Amino acid sequence: MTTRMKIYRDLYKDSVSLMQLSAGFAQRDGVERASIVMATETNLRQLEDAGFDPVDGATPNDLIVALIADDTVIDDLFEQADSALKARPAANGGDGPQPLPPSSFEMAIEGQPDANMAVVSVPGPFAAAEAIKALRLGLNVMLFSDNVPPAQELEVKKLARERGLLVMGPDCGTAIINGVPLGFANVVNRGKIGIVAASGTGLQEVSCRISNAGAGISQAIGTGGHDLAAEIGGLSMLTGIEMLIADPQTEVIVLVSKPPSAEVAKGILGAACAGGKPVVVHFLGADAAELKGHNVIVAESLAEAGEKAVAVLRGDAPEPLCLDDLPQAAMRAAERLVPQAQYLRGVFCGGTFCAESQLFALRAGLKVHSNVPVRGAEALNDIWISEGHSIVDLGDDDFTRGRAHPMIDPTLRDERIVSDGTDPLTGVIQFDVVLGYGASMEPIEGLLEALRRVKEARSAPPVFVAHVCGTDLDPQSRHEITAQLQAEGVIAATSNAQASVWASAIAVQCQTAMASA
Amino acid sequence: MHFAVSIGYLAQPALPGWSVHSSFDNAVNLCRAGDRQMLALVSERYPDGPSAVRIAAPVGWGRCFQRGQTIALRNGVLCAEGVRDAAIGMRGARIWSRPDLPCGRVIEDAGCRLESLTGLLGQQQAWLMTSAEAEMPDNTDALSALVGMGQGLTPAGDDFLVGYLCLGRVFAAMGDRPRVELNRLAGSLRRRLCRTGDISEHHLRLALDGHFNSALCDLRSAMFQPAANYGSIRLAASDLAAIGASSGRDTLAGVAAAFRRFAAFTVHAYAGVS
Repeated sequence: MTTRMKIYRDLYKDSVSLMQLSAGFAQRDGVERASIVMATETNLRQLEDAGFDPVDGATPNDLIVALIADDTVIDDLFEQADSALKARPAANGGDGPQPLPPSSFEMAIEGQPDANMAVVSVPGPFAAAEAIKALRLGLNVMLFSDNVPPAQELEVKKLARERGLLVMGPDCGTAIINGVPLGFANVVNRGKIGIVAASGTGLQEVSCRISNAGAGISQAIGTGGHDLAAEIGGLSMLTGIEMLIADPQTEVIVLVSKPPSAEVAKGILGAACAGGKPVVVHFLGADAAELKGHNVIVAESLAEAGEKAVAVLRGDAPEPLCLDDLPQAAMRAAERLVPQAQYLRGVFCGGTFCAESQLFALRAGLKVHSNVPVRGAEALNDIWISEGHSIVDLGDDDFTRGRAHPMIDPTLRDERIVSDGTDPLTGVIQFDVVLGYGASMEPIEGLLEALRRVKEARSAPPVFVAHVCGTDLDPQSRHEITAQLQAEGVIAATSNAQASVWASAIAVQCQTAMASA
Repeated sequence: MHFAVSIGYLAQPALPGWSVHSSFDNAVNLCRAGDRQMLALVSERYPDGPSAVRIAAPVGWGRCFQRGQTIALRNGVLCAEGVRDAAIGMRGARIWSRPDLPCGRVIEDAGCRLESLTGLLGQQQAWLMTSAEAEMPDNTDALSALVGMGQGLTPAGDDFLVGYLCLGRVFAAMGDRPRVELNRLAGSLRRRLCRTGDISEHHLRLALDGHFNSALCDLRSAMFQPAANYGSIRLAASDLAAIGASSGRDTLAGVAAAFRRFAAFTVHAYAGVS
C-alpha cells in the first residue's frame, strides 16, 4: 500500500462532485482509503491521524486528494482525479469514478432536465412533503405511498391544481403515461382511448379489455382510491379529465371509480362532458339511473366500460356486455357437489375485482360477507375465516401488513384457496390472476398446487371460476396461463364480470338444490 | 440574458469591485477583495439567502462565469466582463426580507417535533449530533472543533454549526443559560473562522450575526408554531435536507441538535425530549 496526497490550490468543486469522486474511488479494488476534502486544519489533522504525512502550506481554500491504495493502481487514480477535478464533471460511464445516485429531485433533474414526472414511494407521513417538493419543481407526481392523511392529500392536490400539474395518488399503483406502464400495469396497445380511474385493478381490467379488443390506450391515469371522496372533491380526476380533453391523441374518455357523492359526481361529469369527447362512465355500485341525466355513456361493469369505449371509438352503438351462459362443464361440476356445498368463496388480489364480484353476488340475491364490504354486504367477523358467501380482498392493508401484496407474492391467495376449498361448505371458488409489470412472474406456480390439494381433499371438489386480467403482450403469457388453469379444470372467464355472474349462478343453483334436498 | 427573481436583504450587487470567486453549474460566488464580502448568484430553485441573488436560468448557466472575471452592475444589468451570456437583469426582482425571529414558547410536544426532523438524517448527521452532546453541560469545545471538518465544499461541520446557531438564537432569547452558552460558542467560533474556506467562512459569519437562508428560517418558524403541525415541519425539514449533496442534511442535524439540547434545559415543561 502507498500513502499519497495531492493539493489543488484554490480549487472549488461542488460537494456533489467531491462526494462522487470519493465514493467512486472507495469502491475501487486496491483502495484502502480515499478522502477528497477541503484542506482545512481539522481535515488535515484527521488525515494525519489516518496515517498521512503532515502537510505544509495548504490553506482552507485548497482541495486535497488523499489516497491509501495499492502501488499498482495509485498512479491511475491520481490521473483520474486530475482529469475529473480540472475538467467539468464528465457524463456517467467508463472505469472512472461513478456519480452518486441522486438523493433529491433537484439532483435527478440535473441529470434529466427534460423529466416532468416524479414517482414518490416513501412512508406515508413523509409522502406529502416529497410530493409538494416535486410539484414546486414543476413535476407531475405519481404518489405510490399510502397512509397519507386526507388533509395532506388535499393540500398536495390543491397545489397541483394551482400549478396545472397532475397528482396520481396517494395509494396509486397503476398508470400508463405516454405508453410507459407505471407500477402494476399491463402491456397494452397504444391508441385513442384515455382512462382516468380511482381504481388500480379497475384501470387494468378496462385497459386490457380495450387492448384485447384491438383498440388502444392514449393515457391511463390513476387518481388513488380516495380522490372522489367529498373532502377531496375529485381534484385529480378533474385534472386527468382536462388533460385528456386537451390531448389530441385521445378521442374517447373512460372514467372508473367507486360511486362519488352527488356533488362530486356532478362536477366530474360536468367537466368530462364539457370537452365534447364521448365519455364512458363506470361508477361501481352506482345507480345507473342517476348517471343517465348526464350526457355520458353508462357502463355497468368494468368490462362493459372497455367494450363500450371501443364501440364508440369505432362509430358503433355501445351495447350492453354480452355475458355467456354458464358453461356445460361448470353445470356438470356443480351438479356433482354434495348438498351442503353451497357457498361462494371469492379470493381476490385485486380490490376492484373483489368489489365488482360482491355487487354481482348481491344482484343474484346472495347474502355476502367481506373484509371490505360494498353497500349491502356484511363485514366478516374474522377476516381470516370465511363465513357463508365470503368474498375477500387479500390486497387490503389488513392482509398485507408486513408482507408483499398478493399480486407480487400470491402465496396468501393460494393458502386461502386451500383453506376455503377444503371447507365442505364451499361450492364455488372465484379468484383472479393479475398479470403485467409489477405482478409476480410466476403467478400460478403455487396456485396449481393449491388446486390439486383441494381436489385431493374433496370427493366432489368445488367449482373453480377464474379470470386472468392481462394481455398477450404482458411479460407473463395470458394465453398460456389461461390454458394451464383450464387444464386443471378451472372455468376461465374473459372478464371479472363474466366470472362473477357464473360464480353467483353456481352458488344460487347450489342453494336451490340444498333447499329442495 | 437571465433575470434575477429575488435579492437577499444583505446583497449589494451595486457595490464596485466584485469578481468571480468560484463558479459551478448552478451557482456563482462573487467576492470583493477590499472587505472580503461575498455575494452568491444561485438558481431560483435554491432558497433565498441574505446575501444571495436567485436567478431564473437553465441548468448549467453558471458555466458562463470564470474565476477572476470582473463583475459590475450597469443599467440594472449585472455583467461579467466580456461575456455576453453572463448578463443578469436585476430590475423587477423582489427583495427577500429577513424573517422575524419566532417567539420561544413552551412546547409540550417537543419530542414529536424533533422526531419530524430526525427521520431525514443519516449516519454522518447522527455522528455530528453526538459531538454536539459531548461534554455536558458545556459543549463549546466540542462544537468549535467542528469548524472546517468533513467532506464537502462547505465542510459538514460548518453546515451543522449554521443549523445549530439558527435554532439556538430562539432559545437564547428565552433564558440566561442558553444565551450564555450560545455567546460562549459564538466567541469561540469567531476565533476559528480562519480555519475554514472562504465560502464556508462567509456562511458561518452570517450565521453568527443572525442571518440565515429561507429554508432554515421556514423550518425554525415551523418548529415554534404554537399548534403542532408535523406535516409543515416535515415539509420544511425536507426542503432544507434537499440542499446540496449533504449540506442540507448536515444543517438539519444542527437544527435537531440545538432543539434537543436547549429544549432539555430551557423549560421543564418540554416533555419527551431525551
